[in-house]
Amino acid sequence: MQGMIEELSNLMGVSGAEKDVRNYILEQIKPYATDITVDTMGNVIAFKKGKAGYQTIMVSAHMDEVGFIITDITDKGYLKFATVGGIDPKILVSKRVKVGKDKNDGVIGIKAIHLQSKEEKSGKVSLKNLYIDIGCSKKEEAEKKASIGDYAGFAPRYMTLGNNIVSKALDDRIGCALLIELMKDTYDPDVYFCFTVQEEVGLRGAKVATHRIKPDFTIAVETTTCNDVADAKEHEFSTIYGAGAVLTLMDRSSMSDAKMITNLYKKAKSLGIPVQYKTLAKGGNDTGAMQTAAGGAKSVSLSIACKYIHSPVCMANKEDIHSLYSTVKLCIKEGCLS
Amino acid sequence: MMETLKKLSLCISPSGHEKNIREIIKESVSELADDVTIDPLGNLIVHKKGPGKKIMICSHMDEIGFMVTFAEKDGFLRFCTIGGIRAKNMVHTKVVFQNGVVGVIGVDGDIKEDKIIFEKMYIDIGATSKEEALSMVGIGDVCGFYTKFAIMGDHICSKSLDDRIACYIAIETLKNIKECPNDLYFVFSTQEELGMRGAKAAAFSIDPDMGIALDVTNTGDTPEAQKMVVKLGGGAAIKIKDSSVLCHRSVVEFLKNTAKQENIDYQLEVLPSGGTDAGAIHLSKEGVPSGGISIPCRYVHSPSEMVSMHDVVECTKLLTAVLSTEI
Amino acid sequence: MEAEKLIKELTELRGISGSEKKVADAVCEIVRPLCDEVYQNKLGSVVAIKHCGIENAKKVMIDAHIDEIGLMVTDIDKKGFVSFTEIGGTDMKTLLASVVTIHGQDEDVTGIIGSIPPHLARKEDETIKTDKLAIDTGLTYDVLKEKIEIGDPITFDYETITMGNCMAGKTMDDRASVAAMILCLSKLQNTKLNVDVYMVGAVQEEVGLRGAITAAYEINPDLAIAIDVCHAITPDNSDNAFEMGKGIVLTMGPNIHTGVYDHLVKTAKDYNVPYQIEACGGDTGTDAWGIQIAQNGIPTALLSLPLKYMHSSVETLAISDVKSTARLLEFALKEMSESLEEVFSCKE
Repeated sequence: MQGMIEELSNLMGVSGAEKDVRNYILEQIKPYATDITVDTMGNVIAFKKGKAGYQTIMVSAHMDEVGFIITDITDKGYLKFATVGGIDPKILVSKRVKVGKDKNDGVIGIKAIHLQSKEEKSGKVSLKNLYIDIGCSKKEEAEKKASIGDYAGFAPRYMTLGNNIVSKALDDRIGCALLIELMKDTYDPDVYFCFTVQEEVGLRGAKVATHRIKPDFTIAVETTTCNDVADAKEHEFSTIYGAGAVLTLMDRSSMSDAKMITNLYKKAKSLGIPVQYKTLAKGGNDTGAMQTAAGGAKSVSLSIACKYIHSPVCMANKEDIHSLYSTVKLCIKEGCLS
Repeated sequence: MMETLKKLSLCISPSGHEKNIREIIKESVSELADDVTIDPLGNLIVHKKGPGKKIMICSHMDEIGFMVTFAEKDGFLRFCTIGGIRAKNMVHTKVVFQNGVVGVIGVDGDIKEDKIIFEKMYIDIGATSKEEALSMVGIGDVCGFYTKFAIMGDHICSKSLDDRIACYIAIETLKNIKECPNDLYFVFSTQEELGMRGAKAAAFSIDPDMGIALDVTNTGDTPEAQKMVVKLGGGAAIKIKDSSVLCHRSVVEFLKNTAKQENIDYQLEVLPSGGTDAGAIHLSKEGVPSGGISIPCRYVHSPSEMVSMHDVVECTKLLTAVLSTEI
Repeated sequence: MEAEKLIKELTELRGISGSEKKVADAVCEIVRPLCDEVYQNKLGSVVAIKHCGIENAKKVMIDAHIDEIGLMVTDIDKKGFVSFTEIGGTDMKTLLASVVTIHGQDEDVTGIIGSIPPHLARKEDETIKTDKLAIDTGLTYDVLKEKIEIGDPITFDYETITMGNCMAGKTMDDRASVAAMILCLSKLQNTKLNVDVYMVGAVQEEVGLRGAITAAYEINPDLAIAIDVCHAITPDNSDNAFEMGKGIVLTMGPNIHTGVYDHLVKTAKDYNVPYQIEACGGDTGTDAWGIQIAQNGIPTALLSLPLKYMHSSVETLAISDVKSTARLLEFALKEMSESLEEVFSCKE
C-alpha cells in the first residue's frame, strides 16, 4: 500500500484537473468492482454489490489536491496565479512547482531578505505579489510553455523519514489508496467506493455523487490537521500524531452521527485498534456534503492525523495509516448502525 | 400549558444530539397524527393526512450548546461550541450535561477582557483530575445552559425559546386543527443551528408544495437596539425576509390576508441577519414557495431569551388558520 | 431586433431580488414569439423553451439573472423618513445623493437618499452606516403610510444612456446578458437546431444564486452556459479585470467543464468572435457555481461581459461585447450535434 500512496501522491491532480489520478485509480480498481461510473464532474463511483437485505454504504476519499491556476502572463514572462483550495500564501515563498500538462518546472520566489521591508520580513505575504518563474524573460517565450487556465501544483518529492512518510497531496491520496485496498475485500452491504473531485474548493464532487447514490450511510476517509508541534498547548493539538485513527465528533461542515461514532470508538478500542477523537471542531470534509445531499444519511468522518497539511511536505505516520485502514474496514463491516 | 413549555425549554439537546427533546415531542404528538417517522438525520416527521397539497411546517428541536473535546490533567474540560454563541457572554455561565452534571464556564487567567475567545475557556465540573473528570462526563458529551424558567407577567424568560417556543406552537396547532384540507407535514428538525441541515434533508424527502418555518426573530424595542420594527407584544411576525430567504410574495400575502380576515394581531418582519429553516426548504429541488411565522424574542442565543405569550397565542392562531385554508 | 433598444428596455425594468414579477412578465412577453413555450417556475424564474423537434433531444440551458440589487423598506418614522436595508451587495457610497423608487402595493413613490452637505460634514461622517441613511419622499407620515409599507422593494431611479459605443445604466448586471440571450434566440428563429434550448431568466442571483440552483434542478439539462458580468479595467484598477470592447470573457477552472469550454473556444475561433480568457480557481461568484452541482452534476460553462463600475447606477459596457456574446451563443448552439459528442468526447 505504501508504494501506491507514493505513486498516487506524485501525480498532479489539482481540483478541477484530476485526470491523471482518476486514470491511475480506474486501472487499479477494475478487477474489484461490480460496476464503475465516471460522472460528468469526474467522480469515480465504484460499486461493489453485496447481499440482499442489507443497506447501502458510501465510502469516499477525494482525488483532488490544493494547487494553483495561471491567471496571467506578464510582459517579462512571469506567471501570475490564483490558489485552488486553501493555501497560506506565506508557505509558497521559495517553493518548486510543476506547470501545465507538460509539467514544466517553475519556482515561486520573492525578493531576497536583504531587500525586504520590516513588514515583509515578519511574514506578511500577499498572493498579489507572488509569481511563478519558469525561466523565461519575455511574454512570447513564456506563452510557449504555459497558458492562462493551466493548472500548477507542488513539485512531487516523496520521502520516507523513519516511520513517517512525507509528500505533497497526502490529503487525500492516503484516503484514495486505502479505498483501493478496501475494495479488494468483500462485504455484505452494497458499498459504493467514491473517489470524489473538487473537495478542496467546496465538497463539490461529493454532493453530486451522493445525490446519484442516495446512500443510507456515508464514511469519509480523510486526512485531518495535526497541530502536535513545538509551541502548541496539548488541547490545541486537534489530533495527536501517531496516536491512531482519528474519529471526528464535529467539524465546521458536519456532526458525525453520535451513536455511530461513539460505538465505533468503543469497538475499535476493544479490538486493540489505536483510535482517538479529534479535539478541535475546525476544518471540513466531504461529509459536510454527503450528510444532507439526498434526504439525509447517517455519516461519520474517519481520518489520519497529518502534520503540515496543505503544504508540499505533509507528514503522516505509517502506523496511523494501518490504524485508519482497520477502523474504516470495521466501520463498513460492523459499524453502520440505524 | 406552562408545564409543557417549561419541559420543552429546559430539555438539554444541542444540535446533533436531539434524542431527549425528540422523545418529549414524540410523546406529545403521537396521538394527534396519522404517521410519525424519524429520518436518518433524526428529524421527527409528523404527518397529518389531507387530500390537498403538501405543506411542510418546520420548527427546529435543536439548541445551541457545547461539546467536551478534551480533559486537562487537573480536571478542567476544554470544549467547542455548537451553533453561534458569543464568547464574552459566556463567562461564568452555568451549564448542565445530558446526564445532569453541572459545570461553570471559566476563562484562562492570562486573557484580557477584550480578547476573550472560546479557545481560552474551560468548563469546571469540580473535578480535580483527568480521571475524575472523565468518570463524570465523556469526550463528545454535550451540555446546554443551566437556568431557571421564569414567568414575568405576560412574558416568559428561559433558555432555548429558540426554537422550543416554535415546537410548542406546532404542538398546540396540531391539537387545535379541526379541518385539514391540506396534507400537513410537521417537521421537528435537527441541526438548524449548524446550518439548517435537518430541514434540507427533510424537504428533499417530503418534496412539499409550500414551506412555513416557525422560528424566533429579533426585536428592535430595547434601548439603542439595531433598527427593527418588530416588538414584543406586537403579535405574530410575518416574515418578509431574513439572510437565508426572501419569502415568496404569494406566501407573504396569504399569511397577511389570513391574519387580517381572522383579526389576528400581526407585524411584519425584515431581519437583516440570521437565517432559518425556510432558507433550506425554499431551495429544495425545483424550489418551494416558502414563508415564515416568527415569534419576537429578545436576547436571542443567550440563556435568558424572552418572549410574550400574547405573541405566542397569536402565532398559534395564525398557523392554525393558515393550515385550515386550502392552498 | 436591435441590441441598443433591447438593452435599454431590459435595464430600465424594475425588479430587485425576490420581487422580479414585473421583469419576469416583461421578459416572457419579449421571448414569447421566439420560442415554443414560456412560463415562470416556482420561484419566479422565466423558462423559455425552443424545441428542435427531435425525440428525446439533449437539453441545453442558457442562463442569465433578471434580478437587480436594491433596497427594502424597514420602517417609516413619524417625520416621514423611510429606513431601509440592502438587498444584494450595494456600495454604500453609491446611495448618497441618489434617486430611488419605492414600489408600494398600488403605486410607486419617488424619493431621494440625502447626504450631509460638505460644509457641515464632520470627520466622523466619513464612514457612514446604511442604517443612518434614510429616504426623503417629501411626503408626511400620514400620507406615506397609505402608499407604502414594510417590506416594499426599492429600486434605483435612473435611465440607461448611450455614450459613444457604450451604454451606462443601473442593471447591466445582468439584463445586458438577458439581452444577449434574447438576441441569440431571435437570430435562431428560423434555424433548425439539434438540441432543445432552455433559456432561463433566473431570479435571486444577487442573494445566493437561488433561481439558478432550482431552475437547473427542474430542467436537469445535459449542459448549461451561464452568462454574467465581470470587471472591466478602469484607471484605478487592472487586477482581476478585462478590456471592454475586446470580446466576451470565457472562464476556465474547477467550476467549468472543459468540454463545454473547448466547444465555445472552437466556435469563437471558427466564427471569428472576439474573446478573452479568465482563470478562476474556485467559486466564480455566478449562477455557474450553483448550476454545476444540481442533480447529478451538470457540465457548465460561463461567459462574462466586461463591465465598469459594477453594482452602481452607472454600470458601463460596450455594445459590441453584448453583440459578440449573442453571436457566440448562436453559433455554439448551431454547432451542437444531436449526441453532443463533440462536447463530451474529450473528457477531462
